[in-house]
Amino acid sequence: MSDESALQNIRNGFAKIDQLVTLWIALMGAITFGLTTVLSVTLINEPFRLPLYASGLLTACATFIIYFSNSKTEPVLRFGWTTALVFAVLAMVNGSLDAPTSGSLYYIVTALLSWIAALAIGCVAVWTDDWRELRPWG
Amino acid sequence: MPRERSPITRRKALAAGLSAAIGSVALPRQWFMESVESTESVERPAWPMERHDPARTGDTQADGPTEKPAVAWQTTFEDTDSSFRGPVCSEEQIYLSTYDKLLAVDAETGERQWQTNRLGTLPWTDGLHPWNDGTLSIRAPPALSNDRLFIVSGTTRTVLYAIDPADGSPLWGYETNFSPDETLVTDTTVYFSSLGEPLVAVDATAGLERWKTEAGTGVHPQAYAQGYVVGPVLGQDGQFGAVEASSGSVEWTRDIDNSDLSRGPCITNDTVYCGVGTLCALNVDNGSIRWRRTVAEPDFDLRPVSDGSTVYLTLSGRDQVLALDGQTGDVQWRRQIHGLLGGRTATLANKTLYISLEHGVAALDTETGAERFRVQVGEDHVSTSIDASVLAGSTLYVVLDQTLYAFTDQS
Repeated sequence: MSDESALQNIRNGFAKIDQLVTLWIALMGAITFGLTTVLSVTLINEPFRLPLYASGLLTACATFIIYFSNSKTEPVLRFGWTTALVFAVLAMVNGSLDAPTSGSLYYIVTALLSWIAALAIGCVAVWTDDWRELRPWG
Repeated sequence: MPRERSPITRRKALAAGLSAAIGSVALPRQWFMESVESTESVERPAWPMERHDPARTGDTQADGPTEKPAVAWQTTFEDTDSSFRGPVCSEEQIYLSTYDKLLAVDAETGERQWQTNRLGTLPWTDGLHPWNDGTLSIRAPPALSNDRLFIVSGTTRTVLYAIDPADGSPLWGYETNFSPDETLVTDTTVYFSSLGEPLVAVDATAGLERWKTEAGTGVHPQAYAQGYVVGPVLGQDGQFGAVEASSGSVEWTRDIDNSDLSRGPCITNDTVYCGVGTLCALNVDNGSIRWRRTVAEPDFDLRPVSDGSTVYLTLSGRDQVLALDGQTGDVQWRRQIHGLLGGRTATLANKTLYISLEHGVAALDTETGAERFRVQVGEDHVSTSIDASVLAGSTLYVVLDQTLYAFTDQS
């Protein structure tokens, strides 16, 4: 093997890692952020930041599944950022991001609705390049 | 062959997302909360909190023993190394706490129903908490209201918990950023505060914050009646006051000596009885003074109980029990009783006043002060100090160290 091809292999390897990290960050925005908040307001007095680790584990699994299925990275990134942004705005406005009460049905419902809204809008962001197409009048 | 169109379109997805977004922001909190109006009364056979009810009358209206009762059962919890604090009772169960343990006992038999030293949603995470952060560190005796048991617990972070009394599982936990030194539970709201901190009102059903005062304003929530929460004014020595239970706005304040030391106001018939050394009767609506009566040394914390017409005081330093007319403050009777315990409040029921003594409880006739009977417990205990004696239904419960005694009429 020549020096050049070895270097190319390393470059390819880093490019793959770069893709993996990008996917992971995107899915953190889509899954970890929302699910941690939902679990935090649902579970009372759980140790070791359990909601964060549980949703982090789910995100890691999703990342590897998408990575090995050779899906395109760009739509996942767009989905992740949109979901994270929409969720952050909604959860800050309705208070579920920093809810003082865990186990309260109100915060569970608002956190869930925020996450559902964020996921739905994230899907739409992947689905369309031109938002004007979605105007009800055509 | 034409491709089948997905039933989910971009527009439908957008509509669902926007609907959920609007729902998450506009969901009315009131749907999850109870109305703020509370009642001062308590169902008859229960003793749900310190001095029986939110008005802190200590009056149960129950048919307690009037003649010397017998021990129906007694239970010693050998696996507990610290003394129990004030029991509270429902019709079926008695709830006891130490600083790190909460347990429920069957009211009929004295058998332990459940016990916990950690409150968490997932039972399998017990024991996983680092540095015991999740274990209980109970700051005050529990209070029972509307089928929920309330405790404040925590060291590094303080949490007000609502617990299912049937099995001890947590229903919700409200995390505070300060350690409350006073908690008052009504049937719809839990009020708590601490010096230099706000007075906070939390809905008892959903655990949602109703309102919060500015830090250092409001009162220490010590008693509730007629839409007012009363207690010493936060951060103002000597001032006693009332806030509106629905908003937290200060309704009135009154200068009474050493009111910041007072831990025991009681409210009956539109009147707040409170004070340190001198008992003051204040109009609950505007704070005007109806009468004052000096009954003990200026630093003596008075914890009155009242049936409406008469106010009863136990003065442990003077070994005296006092009955004052609720309207005028005149002394109706005074009785010398040796071995009265300080910091304990009396229990009123069926024209009988039960008072805690060293190693026992004495029952006095409320009209004359004559002793009806006296029971002794735990003479083999090192400690002599009865922690609490409460009455639920026809049973008198007495706690001494790790032992709970139940007394009922011998008939």
